[in-house]
Amino acid sequence: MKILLGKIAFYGIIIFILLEVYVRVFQIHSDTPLRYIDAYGVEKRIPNQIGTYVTGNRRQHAMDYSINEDGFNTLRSEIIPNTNEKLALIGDSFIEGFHQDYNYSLGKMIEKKKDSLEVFEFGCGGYDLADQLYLVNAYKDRFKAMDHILVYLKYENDLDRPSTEPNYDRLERSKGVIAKLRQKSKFLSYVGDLGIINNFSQFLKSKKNIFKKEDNSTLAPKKQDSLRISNFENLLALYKVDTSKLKLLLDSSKTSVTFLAYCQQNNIVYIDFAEAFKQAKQQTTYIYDEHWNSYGREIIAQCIAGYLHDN
Amino acid sequence: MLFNSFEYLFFLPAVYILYWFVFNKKINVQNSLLILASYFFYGLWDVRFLLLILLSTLVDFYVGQKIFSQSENQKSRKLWLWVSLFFNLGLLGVFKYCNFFIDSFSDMLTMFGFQANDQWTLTIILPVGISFYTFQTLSYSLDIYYKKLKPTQDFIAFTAFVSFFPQLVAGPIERASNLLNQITSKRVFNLNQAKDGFKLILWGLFKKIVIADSIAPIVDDIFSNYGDYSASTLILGVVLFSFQVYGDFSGYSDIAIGSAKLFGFELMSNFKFPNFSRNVAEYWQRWHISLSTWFRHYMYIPLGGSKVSKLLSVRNIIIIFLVSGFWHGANWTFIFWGALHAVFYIPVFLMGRNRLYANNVVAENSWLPNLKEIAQILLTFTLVSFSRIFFRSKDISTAFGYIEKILANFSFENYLHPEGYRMVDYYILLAVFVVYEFIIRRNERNPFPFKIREVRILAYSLVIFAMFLFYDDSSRAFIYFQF
Repeated sequence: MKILLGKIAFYGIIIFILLEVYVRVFQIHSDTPLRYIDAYGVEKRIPNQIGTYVTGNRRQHAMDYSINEDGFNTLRSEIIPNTNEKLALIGDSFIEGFHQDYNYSLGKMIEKKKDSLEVFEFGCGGYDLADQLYLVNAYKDRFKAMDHILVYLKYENDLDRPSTEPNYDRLERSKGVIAKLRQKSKFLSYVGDLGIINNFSQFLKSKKNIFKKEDNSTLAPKKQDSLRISNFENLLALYKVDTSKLKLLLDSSKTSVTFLAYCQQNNIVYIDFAEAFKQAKQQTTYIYDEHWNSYGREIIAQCIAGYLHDN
Repeated sequence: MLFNSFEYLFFLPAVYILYWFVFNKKINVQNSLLILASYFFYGLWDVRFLLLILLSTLVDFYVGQKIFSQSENQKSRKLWLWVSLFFNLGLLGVFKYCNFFIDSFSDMLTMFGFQANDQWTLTIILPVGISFYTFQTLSYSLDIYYKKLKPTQDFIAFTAFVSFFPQLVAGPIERASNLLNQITSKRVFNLNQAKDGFKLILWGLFKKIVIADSIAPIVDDIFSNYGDYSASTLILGVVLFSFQVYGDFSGYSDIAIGSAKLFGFELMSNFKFPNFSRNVAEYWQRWHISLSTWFRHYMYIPLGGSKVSKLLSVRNIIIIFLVSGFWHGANWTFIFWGALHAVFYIPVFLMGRNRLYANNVVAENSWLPNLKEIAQILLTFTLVSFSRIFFRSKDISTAFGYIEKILANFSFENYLHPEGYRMVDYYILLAVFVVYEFIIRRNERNPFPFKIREVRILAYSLVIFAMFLFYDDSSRAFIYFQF
C-alpha cells in the first residue's frame, strides 16, 4: 500500500509538470492582468501589463491586451488639451475588451468613424453602474475634460446597488495561496478559466450548506424596476454626475420599458443599439461567449458615431 | 452519484481508505462497509428506491434457499423460481413498462375507434439501474434452479453482491458464481491489481469525458434539428452518436471494473473493442458482453439455442433480440432496434459465421487489417450505426423521418455547430481514438500496454490533458443509467 501511495505521489508530480508544459507549449492559458485598488479607491488593473487573453471552447481565440498607465486596456492614456471632442467610454468586460485586439477596440472604431474625436476607454470586467459612476467621481478632474461620458449599462445586472465602497478584503482574499499558485502555474490558471476550480469550490460550499435552505426569492418585475430606478437616482446624486455629459449605451430589447420611459422623462440620453443588432446580417457576438465580435463592435461604433454626429 | 462527479472523487478514496486501512481485519466488516457505501452511493439519487434493492435482495436470498432445499421436489423448485421471476420482472413491469403498455393499449383502442383516456398513464419515476440489478438477482435464483450454484448462507455477502456500487447502476451484470464467490472470499491487497484499476478508471474517464460528453452537444443538435440539416450532416450525427454511446457505456464499464479492482474484485469484461467487429455476430460478442451472456445463458440456451432446427434457432434469435431491445427501454424504437439486429444477425447465423471470430481479433497476427477486414469492419459499423437511429430517436416516426431525410434528397454540406464548436478538433480526436483503440485491441483490460515507464507517463499525461481540453462542466449522466 505504501508503494502505491508513493507511486501515486510520484506520478502525480510528473504528470502535473507535463501538463504545465503542454499548456505553455500550446499556449492555451490566458494571462489575466492583476487588479488593485488605487489611491482614489478605484479597483482596476495594475498599469503597464501586457499579455494574451484566450477564449473559445477549445481555447482557440487568443487576443493581445495592453494595460495603460491608468490601469485600463486601451491604446490611449494621456489626455492632451486640444480642441478635439473627447468621449469617455466606461463599462465592464464588454468595454474592457479582452476578447479583441486592443489595437481594434471599440474606442478605436468610433474614432475612425468620426473626425476630431478622441475616445478614452475605461472598461473593467465586473464593473456595474455603481463602480462606473464611482470612477467618474473619483477622477473628477479627468472627466471634466470629457465632452461626453458614455456608460454601457446592462440593465439586468448593473443596477442592483445604490452605492459602492472599495472592497479591500475581497482583493486581499484574491491574493491568497490559490491565487498566487494560479499566477505562477499556467496549468492552474487554465484549469481555473475552465471553471473547474469554481465548480469544485461550489461543490464544497454546497456540501457545507447542505442543511441551509437556498433563498430563491425574486422580486416582482414592478418592484425590481422601482428598486433599480431608485438605485440609479441614488448613484447619480451620490457621485454628483454631470447628467448633461452622461449618456447611456444600452440594448433596449434587454432593458425594462419602465426604465426607458424614466430616462426619457428625466432627459437621460441613451444610445440604443437594439435595432441595429436586430438588422445585423451576421452574428454580432462571439459564438462561444456573449461578448461582441468585430462585426458587433462595428455596429455599436456606428451607432455611437452616428449619435455624436447628429447631436 | 456519477463516476465523473466531484462526489465520486471524494467518495471513492474515502471508502478505499476505510476498506483497506480501518475495516480490513474481518471479511464481514469489509462487506458491511461495501453495503453501506453502496446504499449511500445509490441513495444520493433517491433514497426511496433503496427499498426496492433491499426487497429484491430479501426475496432472492430467501428464494435461493428454498429452491435449494427442495432439491427433490421439482414442482416446488419451479414454484419458487416463479416467485423470483414474478417479483423481479414485476418490479420492471411496474416501474419501467407500465406506461408503455397503457400507452400501447390506448393507441390500439384509438386505432379501433374507441376513446382512450389521456390520464390513464401513471406518474412513475424509473429507478436508476433497475434493469441491471434485477437481472443480476434473477441470475442468482436461476443458477441455483439450474443447479449451477449453491445458495449462500451469508446474507451480508449476498446484500453486498446485489448492491456492489461499482456495477450497481449499469453493470456489468455479474453472475453470482463470479462476484459472490469473490465477496465471500478474503481479499488481499494486490499492488498490480490496484494499478490496473487506476489505469482502467483513467481510460474510462477519458472515454466518458473526452469522447462521449464532448460529442454529445453536437449529436443533440443534429438529432433535435434533423429537419434543418443535409443528409451528410445526418450521417455525421449517426456516426458521432455511435462513438458517443460507445464512449459513454464502455467508459462507464471501465470505471466500474477499475473501481472494483481497487477493492480486490475482478468483474467480467463488458466491451472488447466492438467497433472493430467483422460481422454483427462478432459485434455482439464484443458489445455489452454481460447482457449478451445473460440472454444466452438464461434465454437462448433454455429455448434450445442453436441445437434445435434452423427454423427454431432463427425463432430463438428473433426472440432474444426483441427482448434485448425491450430490455433497453419501454419504447417501440428499442424494439425496432432489436428487430433490426435480428435481421442483421440471422444471415450471419445461417451462413454459419456467427462463431467465426469468437476467439480472435482483427489483424490477429499483423500490424494492419487487410482490405477485406477493413471492408467487413466498415460494413458492420455502418449497419450498427444505422440501427442506432432507432436507439437515439425519441419515437418511431422521428426515426423514420430521420432516415427519410437521408435517403430522399442526398446532399453534402459542411456542418457548423451553432455554438461554434470547431469540428476539425472532433474529427482529429476520433481518428486518434480509433487508431489508439486499434493499437490496444488485443487486451481491453490494459489500455496503456507500454513497457517503458516514461512512455506510460506520457500517455497518462496526454489522456489527462485531453480531459481538460474537452472538459464540459455540464457533467452528463451515463446514457445506460436510464435503462
